[in-house]
Amino acid sequence: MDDRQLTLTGEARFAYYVVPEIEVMLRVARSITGDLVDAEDLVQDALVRAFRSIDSFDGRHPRAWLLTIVRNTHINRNRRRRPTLLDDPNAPEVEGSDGASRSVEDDYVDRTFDAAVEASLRSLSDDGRKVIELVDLAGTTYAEAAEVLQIPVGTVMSRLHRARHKVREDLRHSGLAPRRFR
Amino acid sequence: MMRLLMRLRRKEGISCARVQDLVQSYLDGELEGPERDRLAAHLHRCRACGVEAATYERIKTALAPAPPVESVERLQCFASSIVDEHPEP
Repeated sequence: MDDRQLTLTGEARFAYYVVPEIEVMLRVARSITGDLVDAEDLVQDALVRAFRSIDSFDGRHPRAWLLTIVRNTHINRNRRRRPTLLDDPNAPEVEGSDGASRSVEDDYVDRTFDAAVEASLRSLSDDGRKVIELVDLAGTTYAEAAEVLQIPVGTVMSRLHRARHKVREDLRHSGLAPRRFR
Repeated sequence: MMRLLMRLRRKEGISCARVQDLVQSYLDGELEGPERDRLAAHLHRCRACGVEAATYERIKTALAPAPPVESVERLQCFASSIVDEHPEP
């Protein structure tokens, strides 16, 4: 923790470290829950936890720290619920946010593609999901992800590439991506 | 035509197989220097590798859709309310 951070109050530290990451927290929460309303609830709970523990946070990798809180909060919430409430592949997909003029067919193809990616993401191993959450959803570099997960950069790369390759193959099997040429 | 293509690819100094190995790192912004430039040039010229790169780029985009602005704003209001209600964490 540097001198500047030590002088900040808990409220200021919350505003400095946590509030700017709310969108990323919501992205990850939506990926975990598969539902926007559930994701908002999850982020609310995670924000309360983050606020309570902000004084013990060392200031390093705030995004990764918050994503860990989101994940742990989700695990705790599921423990309190019935196990059947875990991932539902038939859950309604979440709407996109762009309002550009596009054809109905384009929208349908995109929704189908996005839903297939989302379903594939949820079928990945925990290791694969974690690196995708860090790199694709949270936008960390390979080096940052390696530090957070305490694994070598090469392992981050291989897990990430393998996970995306699995998604790509799932899409190919669904006829949503072309066959690889080699 | 085939020979010309092969010559072009050799001139770029990067094979399709190598591009396939590196394309995800390239899309993640993790490649630098001459290798990055060679790969970019290759993707421009080689349709098969270009399609592969476009597929992964689309997957990356689909993996992280931006959440609705209203949802983010609601959560920002919620964050403010936590601070207001609990001034001492």
